[in-house]
Amino acid sequence: MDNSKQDFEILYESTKQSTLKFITSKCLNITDIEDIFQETYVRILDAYRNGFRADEPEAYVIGVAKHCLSSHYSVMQRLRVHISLSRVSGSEKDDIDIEDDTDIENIVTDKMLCNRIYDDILKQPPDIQKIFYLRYLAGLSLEETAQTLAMTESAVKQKLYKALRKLRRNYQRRELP
Amino acid sequence: MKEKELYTEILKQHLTLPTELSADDIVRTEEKKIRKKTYVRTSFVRYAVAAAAVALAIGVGIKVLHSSDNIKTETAEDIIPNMTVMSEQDPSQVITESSVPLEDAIGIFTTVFNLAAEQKNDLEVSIVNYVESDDSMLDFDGRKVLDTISVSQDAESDFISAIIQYMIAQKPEYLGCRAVGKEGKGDLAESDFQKIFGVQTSTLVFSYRNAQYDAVDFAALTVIDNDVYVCLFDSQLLDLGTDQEYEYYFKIPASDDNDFAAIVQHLQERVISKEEWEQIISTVSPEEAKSKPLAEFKDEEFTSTFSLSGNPTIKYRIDMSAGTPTVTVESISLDTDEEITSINIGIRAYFKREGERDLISEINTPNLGCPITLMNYEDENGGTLNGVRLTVSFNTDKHSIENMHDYNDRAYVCLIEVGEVYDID
Repeated sequence: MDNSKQDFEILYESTKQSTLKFITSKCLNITDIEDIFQETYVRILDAYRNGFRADEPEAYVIGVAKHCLSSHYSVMQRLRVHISLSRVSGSEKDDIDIEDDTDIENIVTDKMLCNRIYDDILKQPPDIQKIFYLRYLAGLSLEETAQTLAMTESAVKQKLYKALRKLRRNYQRRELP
Repeated sequence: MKEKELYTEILKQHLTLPTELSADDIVRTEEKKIRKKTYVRTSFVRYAVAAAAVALAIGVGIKVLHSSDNIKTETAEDIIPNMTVMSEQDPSQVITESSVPLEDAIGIFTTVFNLAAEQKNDLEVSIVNYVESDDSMLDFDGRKVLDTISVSQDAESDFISAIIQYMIAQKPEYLGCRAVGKEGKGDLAESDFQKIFGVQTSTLVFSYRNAQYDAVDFAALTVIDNDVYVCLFDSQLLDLGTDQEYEYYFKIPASDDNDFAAIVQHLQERVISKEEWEQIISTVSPEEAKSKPLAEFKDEEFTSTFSLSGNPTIKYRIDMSAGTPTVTVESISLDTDEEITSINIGIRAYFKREGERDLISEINTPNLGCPITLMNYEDENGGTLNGVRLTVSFNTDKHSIENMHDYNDRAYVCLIEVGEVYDID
C-alpha cells in the first residue's frame, strides 16, 4: 500500500462522520448527500496522490466539502435557501410518539407503498428531510440531530412530529382498499 | 415493528449511508469518475467541433450551453445569428485560488477580469432581453438574445473598455457575459443576478464558477448616466448556511477613461456603500409588477398615505395567484421636493393553519418593483396567508440617519398592515 492511500484511509476514517454531518446540514436534498460526500473524498484522494497532506484534517475536509456543496448546487438553488427566512413560532411539543394502530410490518412488505412514503419524505422541506436522514438512517439521537442541524432539540421534535403525522395520514389513506 | 423502524427501512431501501463506504470504495469511485469525465470531455469537444462546422457551413448561428451533465443546443432557427462555441476549460488553467484575499477588493476585481480576459475566447457576450422572458425564477432559457459583441483578443483593457463603451452607447436592457469555468454552471448567474436585484438597464454581469475553489462568482457593472458602478461578490455571500458575506461596491465617474487600468486605479478610492449600491440598482427601471392579487385581497392595489412629514404614498401589491405569496412595493412618493436616498422594505407574512399556532415568514429587501416571493411557504408549512405587514422605511436627502443597518435606522418608517397581524417576540 502506498503512503497516499494509507494516509487517505486514516483521514477518511477519522473524518467521515463529521463530514457526513456537515454535508447533511448544508445540502438541499438528502438524495444529494452521497454524491457530495463521495465527491469530497475523491477530491481529497486526488490531492493526497499529488503529495498534499492536511495539517488539520477535519478543517481541511470540511473546507473541501464546502466547495463541493457550492459546486453541486446552482446559485439559484442556494439563493432560494438563502432568502427563505421562514421560521416557525409557537409552542414546541416534547412528545413525538404517535399513537399507532397501523400494521407497520405490512407496510414494509408493500414495496409500492414504501416507495410512495419515500417520495413523500422527499417532498418534505429540506430540514425535515435532514431530520429523517440523521435520525432514521444515520441513527443519531435527537440531541445529536439537533446539534448537527443547529436547532434546538425541541424544534427537531416539533418538526419531526408534524412530518410524521402528515406522512402517517398519507400512508394510512393509501392503505385503505 | 415501530414506526421509526419503518422509516429506517424505507430510507435504507433508497439511500446508502456514505459513511458505510470504505476508503477503497472511494478509490473505486474516483476511478469511475475519471473515466466518466474523460468521456464527457471527449464527447463535448467532438460535439463542439461538429456544431462549429455546421454553423459555419450554413452561415447561421448556433449556441452551445455546456454543463458538466448535459449539453444543450438550440437550432439555428431559434436564435439570432450568433456563433459561440465554448470549450472545456483545462483545470490547470483556472487561475483563481482559494487564497484570493477577500479583504483585497482589487485582488478580486483583478482576478475576475483577468479570468475574463484570459478566457475571452470562451466568453459569450450577449445582450439579453429579460423583460420578455418567462417569469419563473429558474427559467433562464426564456430570455431572448438580441445582439452579441465581438470581443477583441488584444489587451485586456480593450476587452473591458469595449464592453463598457458598448454599454454606454447602446444602453442594452441587460448585458450578460459568461466565462465558463470547469463546471460550466456560470451561465445561470446572470439570470440569478437579475432576478435578485431587479437590475434591468445596462448591467454587465461577469460570472464564473471555479469548480475547485469557487473563489468569486460575480462581478457586475452597471452604467447609469455614463457612470460605471461595480459590484463584486464572493461566493461566500451565497454560501450554504454561513453568515459571512463579502461584497464590494465601487463607482467610477463618467469623467474617467473607462478602461481597465483606470478602473483598477479608481477602485481604491471609490468604494461606495452597500446602501448606495442598493439604491442605485433599485432605481434602475424596476420591472413592472405582473402580479394578480388574490380574491381575498379584493383584486386591488393598495395605496396608503401617512401623516408623516412629506406624506409618503406607498403603492404595493399582494399576490397569491402563483400559489405562494408575493409582495411587491411598487413605488414610494413624497409630496415634498425631498429625494429618497435609501430604502428598506420589511415584509412579514402571517400564515394560519387549522389547529396550529400562527406561522410567520419575514424578508427584508431594498428593492422597489421587485416581487418578493415568500418562497415555498405553502409547501413547507401548509399554512394559508392571513395577513401581511409591510415596514417601508427610507431616508431622504433632507432627513436621514447615518450608519443605517435596518429599518429602525431610517428617518421615515411607514407601517402597512393588511389582514390579521400581530406582534411577536
